Amino acid sequence: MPEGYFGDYFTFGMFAGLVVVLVGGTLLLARLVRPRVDKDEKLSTYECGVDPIGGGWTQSTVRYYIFALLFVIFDVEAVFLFPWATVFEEIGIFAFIEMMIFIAILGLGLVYAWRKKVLEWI
Amino acid sequence: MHQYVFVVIGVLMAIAAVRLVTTKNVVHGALYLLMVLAGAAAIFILLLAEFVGWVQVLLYIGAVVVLLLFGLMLTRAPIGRTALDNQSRALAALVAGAIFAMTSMVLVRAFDGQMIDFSQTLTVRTLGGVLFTKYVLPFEVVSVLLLAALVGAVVLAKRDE
Amino acid sequence: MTQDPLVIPGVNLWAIAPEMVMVAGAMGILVLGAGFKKSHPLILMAGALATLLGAAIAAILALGQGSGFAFDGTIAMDGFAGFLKLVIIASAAVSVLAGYDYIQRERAAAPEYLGLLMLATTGMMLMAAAADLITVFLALETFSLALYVMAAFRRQRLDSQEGAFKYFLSGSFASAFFLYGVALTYGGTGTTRLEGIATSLSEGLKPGTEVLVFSGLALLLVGLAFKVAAVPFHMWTPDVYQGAPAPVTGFMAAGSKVAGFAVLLRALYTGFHELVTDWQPILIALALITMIFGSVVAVAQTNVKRMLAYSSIAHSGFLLIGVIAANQRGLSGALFYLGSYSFVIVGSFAVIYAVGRAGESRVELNDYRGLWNRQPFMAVALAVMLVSLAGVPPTAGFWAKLEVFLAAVEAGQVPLVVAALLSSVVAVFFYLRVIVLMFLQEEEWTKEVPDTGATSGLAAAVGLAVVAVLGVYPTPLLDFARQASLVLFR
Repeated sequence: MPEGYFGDYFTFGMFAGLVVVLVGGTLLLARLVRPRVDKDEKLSTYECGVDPIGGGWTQSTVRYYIFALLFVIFDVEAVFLFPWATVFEEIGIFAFIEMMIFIAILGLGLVYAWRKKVLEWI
Repeated sequence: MHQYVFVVIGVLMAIAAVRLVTTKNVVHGALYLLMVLAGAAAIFILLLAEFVGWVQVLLYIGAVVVLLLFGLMLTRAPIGRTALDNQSRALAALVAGAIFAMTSMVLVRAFDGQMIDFSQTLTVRTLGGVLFTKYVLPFEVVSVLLLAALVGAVVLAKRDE
Repeated sequence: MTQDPLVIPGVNLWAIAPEMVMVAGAMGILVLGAGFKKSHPLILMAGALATLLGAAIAAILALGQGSGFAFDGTIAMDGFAGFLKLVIIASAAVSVLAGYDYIQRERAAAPEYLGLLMLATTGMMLMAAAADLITVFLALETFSLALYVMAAFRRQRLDSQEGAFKYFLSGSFASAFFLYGVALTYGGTGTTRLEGIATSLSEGLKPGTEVLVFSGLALLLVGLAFKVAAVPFHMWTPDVYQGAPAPVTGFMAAGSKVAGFAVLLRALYTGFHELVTDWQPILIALALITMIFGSVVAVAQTNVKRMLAYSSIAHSGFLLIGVIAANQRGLSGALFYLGSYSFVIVGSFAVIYAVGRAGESRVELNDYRGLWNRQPFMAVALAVMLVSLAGVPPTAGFWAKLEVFLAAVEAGQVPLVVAALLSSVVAVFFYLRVIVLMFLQEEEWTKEVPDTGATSGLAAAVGLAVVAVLGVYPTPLLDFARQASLVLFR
C-alpha cells in the first residue's frame, strides 16, 4: 500500500474503481437476467395516460440564471475561506479584518439583490 | 508512474476537447467541457497543487458548468441538429493550432528536462499564508470584481417592472 | 520546516484611499438606490458626484504622502498614479453629468448606471496604480465587467446587444491572453511584481527562460492593445461605440484608454525597461498601422459614433508614439495627452447624446446639418472639441500631440513622426466635415423644438472649457504631468 500524498489518492482511486465495478456489475447483471419486451409502448414516456406532445426543450425562466450566478459568486467566496481558516491564527486580527471586508462587500451585494427582489420567487 | 497517469488524463482530455467543439448537441458540448475540466483538476492534483485541483472541482464542475447549462436552457434554440456554426471553422482551427504549437514550443524550450520534486507538496496553509499577506490587495479586489458581476447580472437579467 | 512569520508587509491605506471611497460610495448608491420604489436620480447623482469629489480629495491628499509602494509592492503610490487617478475621476464625473440626461429620458436604472460606473472607475484607478501583474489583471477584469454591462444598458435594442456581446466575447479572449502572459512572465522571472521583474531582467535570466518572458510580454501587449483599441485588436470598437448609450461610450473611450495606457506605460517603463530594444519595434509597427488605419477608415464613416470610434483608434496610435519614445518627455506627453483626450471625448459624446435625442435616433452625419441653427451651444462645443481632436492649435489636443511627437523626435523616431503627421492631416478632413455640416449647411427638414438636456450641456461645457483653457495655457497641466513622470525615471 503506497503512503503519503499519492498513496491517499491511490486509495481514493481504488474506491472510485470499486464504485464503477459495483454499479456497472449490478446493471450488467440486471441486463442479463431481466425479460426483454421490444414494444413501442415500452419506449414511450408514459405507458398509460396522455401522450406527450411537442419537443422536450422548453425555455426556462431567467430567474434560474440569476440564482445560478449568485451561487457561483458565493461559491468563490466560500472557497477563499479554506486557506483563510488555515492561517487565521497566525496572522491574527488582520486576517479577521481582511475577510470581514471581503464578506461585507459581497454581503452588501446580496442585500442589493434582495432589495431588487431578485431573490423572491413569484 | 506519474507520466503514465498524466498521459492517460491528457489523452482523455484531448478527446473530450475535440468532441466539445465538434458535437452538434450543445448540452453534450457542456458535458464534454465538464470532462475537460475534471481532467484539468486531476492534473492539478497530479502536479501537487491539491487545493487548486479541488477548487477546480468545486467551482468549475460544481458551479460554472451549472451556470452554463442554465444559460443554454435560457436560449430558445432547440437542442441539436441546427448548425450553430459559422463558416470560419478552418480559420479557427488554424489559429488554435498555431497558438497550440507556439505555446508548446515555448514551454518545451523553457522547461525541457526539468523535474518536479514530488516530495514537496503545496499545502493550503502555504497558499493561505501568501494569499493573505503578500496578495491581500488583489484578494480584496476580487470582492469588488464579484460585486460588479453580481450587479451586472441583476441589471441584465431582471425583468422590467 | 521553518516558516516565515506571517505579517502583512507595507500596509498603507493612503495608496488605496480613493478606491476605498469609491467602493463605499458605489455600495451605498446600489443598496440605497435599489430600495426606493422610484428612486430619485437627482439625489443619486449628487451622491455619485460627492463620492467622486471625496475620491479626488483622497487622491490629492495621497499625493502629499510621498511616493513608494504599498501592500508588498502590489500597488504604487506616486505622482504617476495620482495624476491618472485624478484624470479618471474627472472623466467619470463628467460622464455622471452626461449620463443623468440619459437616465432621465430613457428611464434607465439610475442606481445601477451610477454604481457600475463607480465600480468601473475603481478598477481603472487600480490599473493606474497597480505595480503587480495579478493586481492589474483583477483591476482590468473589474472595470471590463462593469463596462460590458454598461454597453448592454439598452438591452432591448439589437445594436446594443450586438455591441455588448462582441465586446464581452472578444474582451474575454483578451483577458485570457493577458492572464497567460502573466503566467509566462511569472514562469520566466519568478515574480509578478513589476519591481521584481525589472530586477530579475537586469540580473540576467536563466538560459531557456528568455523565451518565456518574451512570449509573456507579447501576450500582455495583446491584452492591453485590445483594451486601448490598437489595430489589429480594434474589431470591437465601432460596434460597441455605436451600440452603447453615448454617455457610456464617452466614459468607456476615456476610461479604458487611460487605464490601458497607464499599465502599458508603467510596465514598459519600469518592469520591462530592460527589454526596450525588443518591444520598441513591435510597438512601432502597432502604432503605424493603428493611426493610419484609424484615420483612413474614419473618413468613410457616415455614423458619427462610428467615426469617433475610428478616431479613438487613431488616437491610440498617437498615444503609442509617446510610449515608444521611452524617455521622460514621452511619458509626460502621454500623460498630458490622456488628460486632455479624456475630457474631449467624454464631452463630445455628451453632445452626441444631446443631438441624438432620446434613443439616439440621430447619429448620422446628415443629422448634424445645420446644428448651429438648432442648438448653437452644442454646435460650438462640438466644433471646438473636434478641432482639439484634430490637433489644431491653439487647443489642448495640439499641445498633447506636439509633446508626444517632440518626444519621439528626441528618441530618434523621425519616420514614425512623419507618418503620424500625415495621418493627422487625413484625420483633419473628417473632423472638418462635421464642422462644415454644422455651420455652413442649411438643415433640410423643418425646425423642431431643441431638446437639449441640461446636464449634457454642462458636460459639454466642461469639455469645452478644458480644451480652451489648456489650449491657451497648458503649462499647469504640463508641469503636473512632468512632475508625475519623474517617479518612473529614478
